[in-house]
Amino acid sequence: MIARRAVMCLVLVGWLAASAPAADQIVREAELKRVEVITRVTPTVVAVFAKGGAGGGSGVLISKDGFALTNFHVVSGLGPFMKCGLNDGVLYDAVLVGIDPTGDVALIKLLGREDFPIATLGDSDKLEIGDWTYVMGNPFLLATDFQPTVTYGIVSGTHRYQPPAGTWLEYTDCIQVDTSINPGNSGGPLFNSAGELVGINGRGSFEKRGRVNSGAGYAISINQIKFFHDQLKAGRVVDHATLGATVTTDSDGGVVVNGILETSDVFRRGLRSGDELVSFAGRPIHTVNQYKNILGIYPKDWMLPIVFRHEGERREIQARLRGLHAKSELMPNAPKRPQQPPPKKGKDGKPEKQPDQPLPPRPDPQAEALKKAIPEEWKSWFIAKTGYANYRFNQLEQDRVFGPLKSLGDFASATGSWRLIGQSTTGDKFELTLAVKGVGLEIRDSAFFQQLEDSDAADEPPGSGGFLIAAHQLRLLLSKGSTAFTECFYFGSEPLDGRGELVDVIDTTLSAVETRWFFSRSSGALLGMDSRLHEDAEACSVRFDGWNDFGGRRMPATWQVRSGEKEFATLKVSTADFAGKK
Amino acid sequence: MMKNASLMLLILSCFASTSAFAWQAPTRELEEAEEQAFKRAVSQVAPSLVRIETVGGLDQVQNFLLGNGPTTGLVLSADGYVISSSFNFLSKPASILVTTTDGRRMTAKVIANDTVRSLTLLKVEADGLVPARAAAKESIKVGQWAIAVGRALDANAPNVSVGIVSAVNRVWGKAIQTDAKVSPVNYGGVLVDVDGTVLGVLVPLSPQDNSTVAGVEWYDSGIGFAIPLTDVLATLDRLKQGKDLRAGLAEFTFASTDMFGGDTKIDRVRYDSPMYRAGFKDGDQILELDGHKVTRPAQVKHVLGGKIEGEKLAITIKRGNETKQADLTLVGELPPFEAGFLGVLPTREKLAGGAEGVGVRWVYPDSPAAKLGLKPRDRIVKFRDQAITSAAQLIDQVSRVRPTEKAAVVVRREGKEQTLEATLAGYPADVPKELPTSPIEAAIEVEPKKPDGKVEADGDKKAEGSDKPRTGRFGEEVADSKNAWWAFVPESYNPAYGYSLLAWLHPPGDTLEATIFDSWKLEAERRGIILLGLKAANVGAGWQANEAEFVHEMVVSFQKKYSIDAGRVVLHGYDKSGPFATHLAFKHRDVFRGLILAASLITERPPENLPEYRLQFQLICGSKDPAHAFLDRNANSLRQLKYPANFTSLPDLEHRYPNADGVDAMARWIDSLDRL
Amino acid sequence: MGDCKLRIAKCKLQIERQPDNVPYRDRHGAAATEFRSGRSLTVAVRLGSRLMQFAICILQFAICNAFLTSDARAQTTRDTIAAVQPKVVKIFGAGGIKGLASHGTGFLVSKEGHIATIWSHVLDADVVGVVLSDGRRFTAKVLGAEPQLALAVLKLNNEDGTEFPFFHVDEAISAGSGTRVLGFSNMFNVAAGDEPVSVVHGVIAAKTTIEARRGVFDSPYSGPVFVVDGVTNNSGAAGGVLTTRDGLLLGMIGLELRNAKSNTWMNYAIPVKELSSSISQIISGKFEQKRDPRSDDTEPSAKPRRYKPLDFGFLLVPDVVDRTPAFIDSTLPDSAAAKVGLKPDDLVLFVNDELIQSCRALQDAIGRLESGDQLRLVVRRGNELVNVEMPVPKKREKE
Repeated sequence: MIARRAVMCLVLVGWLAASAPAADQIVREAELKRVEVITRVTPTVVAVFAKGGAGGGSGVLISKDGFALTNFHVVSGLGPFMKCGLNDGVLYDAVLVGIDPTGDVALIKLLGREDFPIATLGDSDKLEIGDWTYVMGNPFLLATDFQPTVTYGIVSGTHRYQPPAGTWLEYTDCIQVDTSINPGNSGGPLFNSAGELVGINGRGSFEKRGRVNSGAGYAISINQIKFFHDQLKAGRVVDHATLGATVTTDSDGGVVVNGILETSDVFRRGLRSGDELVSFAGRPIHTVNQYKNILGIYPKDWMLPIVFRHEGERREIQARLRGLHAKSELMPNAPKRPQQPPPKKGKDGKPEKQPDQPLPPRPDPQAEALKKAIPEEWKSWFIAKTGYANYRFNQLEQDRVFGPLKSLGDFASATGSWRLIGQSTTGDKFELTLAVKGVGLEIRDSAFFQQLEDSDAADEPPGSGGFLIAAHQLRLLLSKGSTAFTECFYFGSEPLDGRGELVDVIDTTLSAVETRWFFSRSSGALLGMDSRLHEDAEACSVRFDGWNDFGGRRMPATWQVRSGEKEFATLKVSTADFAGKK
Repeated sequence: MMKNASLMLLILSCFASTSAFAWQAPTRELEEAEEQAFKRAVSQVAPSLVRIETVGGLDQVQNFLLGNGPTTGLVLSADGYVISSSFNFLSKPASILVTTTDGRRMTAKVIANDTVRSLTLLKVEADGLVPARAAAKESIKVGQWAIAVGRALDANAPNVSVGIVSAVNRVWGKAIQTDAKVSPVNYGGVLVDVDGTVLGVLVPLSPQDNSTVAGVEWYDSGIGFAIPLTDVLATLDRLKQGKDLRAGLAEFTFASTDMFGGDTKIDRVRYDSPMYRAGFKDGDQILELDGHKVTRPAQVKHVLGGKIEGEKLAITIKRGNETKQADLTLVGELPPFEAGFLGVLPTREKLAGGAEGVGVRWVYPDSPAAKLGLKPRDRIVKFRDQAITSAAQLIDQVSRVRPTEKAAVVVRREGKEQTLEATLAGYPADVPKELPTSPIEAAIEVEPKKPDGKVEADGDKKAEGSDKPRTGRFGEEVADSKNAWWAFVPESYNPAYGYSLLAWLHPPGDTLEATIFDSWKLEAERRGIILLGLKAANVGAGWQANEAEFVHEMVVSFQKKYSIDAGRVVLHGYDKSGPFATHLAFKHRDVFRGLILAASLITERPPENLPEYRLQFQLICGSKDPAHAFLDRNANSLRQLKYPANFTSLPDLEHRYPNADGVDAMARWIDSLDRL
Repeated sequence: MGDCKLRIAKCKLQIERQPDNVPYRDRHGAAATEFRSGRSLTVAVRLGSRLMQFAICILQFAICNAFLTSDARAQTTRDTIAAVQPKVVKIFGAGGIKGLASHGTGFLVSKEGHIATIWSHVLDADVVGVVLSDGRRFTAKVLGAEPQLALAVLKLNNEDGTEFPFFHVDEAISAGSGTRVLGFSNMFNVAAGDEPVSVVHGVIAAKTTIEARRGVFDSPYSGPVFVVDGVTNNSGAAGGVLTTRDGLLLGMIGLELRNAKSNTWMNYAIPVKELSSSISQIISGKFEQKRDPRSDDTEPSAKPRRYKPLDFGFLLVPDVVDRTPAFIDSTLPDSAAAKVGLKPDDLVLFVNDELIQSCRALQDAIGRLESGDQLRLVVRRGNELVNVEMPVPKKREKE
């Protein structure tokens, strides 16, 4: 039988070669190029399966050690471990790393290899309407042999806004394609025609025919995901940003503030009702939609540049953005699965378009049992902790960032009072005393003191944002590390002061005092800290420059102290004495 | 200060790509050349495509409305063999007409069907037809142009859709997948490459379902399939002989239901199957099939998916430390599976936790169990040397013994064990006339213990939603669909007990909501049944095929919310909702374990009875109902397929919903679904 | 705003009458927009963000000039799209109840701001809102409509004489199957804000004709259409354009319609060639609306007696199901049927080249014959196709 089939093929092929009309060479070349691009990127496409194989979605690998992007709505409800198939035919175990419920993104890690094939990340802002794109993934769970489905189509719209389902799954600044996206494609890659990853597919407009492609699919832009990447990799449940102000369009077509929270950073920096927004994060603002689109792609707590016009005067500020959700809303016990998008009744009483979801899992008693069985081999990759998708990954990042601190010297043994003496850049002598029970600063013939026991943290020296408390945080960090704080986590990365280099951020809390520590990603050096006395207070920002050795212990040579837009002082340390044993 | 815009560049550059958009958009010249190539490819294949028209026949199949427009076929030989999609003949037309490109119009005969690939071979009396050229299967690459061509839209020219090859070896190795738009306007037509060479014949397919309409719901969605033409030609001679090609069966099932995560250990080898005859046994692990190493059930299905009756299968298994190899010849048909019957209703004691054996709740008169002298309160602790720990496990064990075969049963009575030998029987056709209810204890306010068995709802999920599940009668409009529903949960609901679920499908028009509620309420309380009444989106027009998902999802959501015994989930149709209920019960056998049809016939051919899906039937109607005799016959045919099927005739009743006696009989039947 | 007097004739859809200064609800169901004549309008938006719940913003849009300037790079599809989008507009009007969308699409056909669009319930408002691809907003009124062509023409309120980019409708072309096309429309109202409409790609699948019909899926249009292989016809897409990859105008995207023959949703566009003379006439004011052939008053009051198979001397088998095949049950001796040799069990397949799929279809086809016609039948006898022909007898007066 098989032999006969082979003969048949030969005959047909022979005939074909004799009589086929050759398509033009350029058509062939272009076709060949497309096949090559697909062949190159296909190994990076992940088929995500629920335990039991009954449901699932798609994903794409972005690091050799197995980190892969997918949708939040694909992994929610799967538990911390899942199975992922690649086109090499192997089914890998994978662990959940971080989630972005608002942006509908999740990061997972495939386990067992250090040489996974990876997708090259492109620049989604360069996409234009009409550009050809590939969608790859596992629609309708067709990839029974883990070979993805590839579809090809064009960009139908860019910078689209798709409203959230409840408070989750808001697609801002997203990419609309006519490339076929069906249930199960969720979480899979959108590639540009060069095979660069430009988006994560997650939604479609489904209407009269139920959940099959109707010509409009949506992908989260890869540029947005880049902003969140380090936070997701840190095992976190991340949140998006809000400005703390609302805007409208005025009669001249400008986008103006018409409501503002007085506790927001932008208010403290001088933004007021009636001011006109000029640009946000470097992108000019012309319409309210644009503003919503741009704001939506940024993480909570980032410091970003904002340009506005106040009473005709142009101002540029850096402001830290607030979170879109209250912390408690992001806890795992809060709506874990964003339910099937709230039955949003449209204007016509018909439901609005529904985000695409993976196929509903088949109830399978065995699957339930499997879900509980965490593979022994990989158990150590998951640590449950409130507020985290997987705390294990935050630990790893903390270890990485805190590592270089040890080389600064043995501060743990310096248990007495620390004295730092020097001059400010304005020529004033100063002496900073860091004792166990209090912190003192003498400068310009004034003395400031902050008691540390049985006393509230105060803005001392006044207007500094609480420099004394900030200095105390540094002592704690150097002498006790993360254990000194009630809470300590690796935040992710952010551009330093909204415009500088991308830095690693550690966030610590002790009583009400929250401190963000900035570390150089290249050298590991501590670059500065922002410490605020309480959530709504103006932070005391300290930026360090040059670390000098003072008898075997390294301390910053220059301390630039600032609160908000106001500079307090720049202190240059000439001697440091740690009283305790060396 | 750095320019703001550079910030983004900076962040984005952390992920900088090396290729920096080295790609060029297609030029005008290329787009033009491609368009010309599409048109030329279509004109190359056009002479091989025929237009097919049908006359007469059904207008609905499985609640699926059939179009009556023209369809397409592909010429395979100059002397008039034409292949097409079986979908095009679902209506079982009285006559089939074929029109060739040169305008000749002829009647066509159906020669045979390939049920594995959903193809139908036609023959017209003609010569000089132009057969198509086939592309070699191995040369087909994902990403190459794929042009779908049919002849349904325009009598004078082919209709075209352009896409790419999305995948190969799809649907268990049977098909090429494309994102060109595939639909009834080109089923039976072809997928060609940019030279007009035929890659395959377009058909609707789905990996989850193998009926002829499977996959039709995906039409024009960018998910389309074509059977490689070389595969069609390879079996053409067999089709020409006029015998339908059926799937080649080896027949075994896996212990794991996880297609991807599970292993290849065999749970059951079917009696009298090629595997059985070759000496393979339950518990063997498959290592290789046709030379391919297999470690997952999905891989096995890939090898078997395209196999046809009569084809060979080389198989290697592992048993303990031994390996065993055999070449099987696959068969097209097997004697239907028939489970053995012991004659016992087990006690419902899931929360006993770690109890040894399964208690006897009731013994069927004249059954094997009765002959052995089994009585209520006896405990079956072993069956076929297997220690018994749950009713589900015992049901499974008993079903592995065929009627008339013997099995050893260890029974404990008042602390003493005795070993008996039972000769199993077949499932009885009747419902017990009197059946004591299984006691449901009042709900206690403590957190129910975690259920241990397969048959219990998921305790974790209930714990998450701290709200107490609703009881009594309630209902609502479902927000994201037009379907409405109502439910009745016994007021005495106790999550520690496994309830039956009766999903009632309202027939079109008069929805009978009050009748159903009134006649079932008491039985629901007495026998622990949760009622779920479901209405079609358009109550007047009745159920449509695409509403299957709604029913399925509703039932699954109730299974999550309430403590429901998965073995007693029943669909109930009456009159015009009967065919839809039947369709659903056959389609979702993993969920529905019982089907009650009142005054309605089974119009759809039942699938094969399989051990992994325990589906039982209750047919009921009045003796004066015109359907009475047909329904009786239905029950008999089900029994021939070895399905447990009961027929209840209600004296002097016309064509209407069953009276109190009928409801009593149905409730008893539901209450005995866990019989073994 | 009472200057818009023209109502669309015979719109059967029950639309809530909108007051003047039409407020419409956008797809969030939470915003109302009020259009004023001229260039500015006010929008009230409830922002979705939780922290912005308190905010009600009054937005005043003004003209911002086209940001869709053509790209210097020679990239075909991008070029075409950039050139076409300024000519495609979003239309907001009546609807929003009973599952009817309140948004649609149209395209500019004159530099003064005439817009061609689909004739639909969306226009059943005194004034409709129009948003250009660059976000400029206008009000417009219906200038005229040709229901038989499913066509309406709007005129923008353009008091200060802005000139618009537009399609020359008399230059619309035709194209055959396999031709690459682009569809432009505000499908699903995705481009709800100031953005340009959605673009989908495809090829012309076929040229075919559709017939007007009533019912759930009302198709007022009868005639040739381009069927497209991309998903062009979605809610709100009707009135959009289909162009070649060079941006040449081919067709106007039609209303959502199910193809009864294949039982599938159709993606199609009405050739602009079929519409161009009506568009020009409406613009020039010379247009006289044709009578809607489907309107009841066009039906002749006394129905003529229709022919039956018996008039030719044969009887069909009893018509028992929807698609009872048209088998001949018997022929009358000495009748025309007997003379041409029709026999019992012959299956009638064609009547004057029309495929006959059921008894009912045969009754209909024979009923349409006129005195003096020829009746040509193709019947299947065994596996043979047999052609017969007989004259249609003179019409007898009413019996």
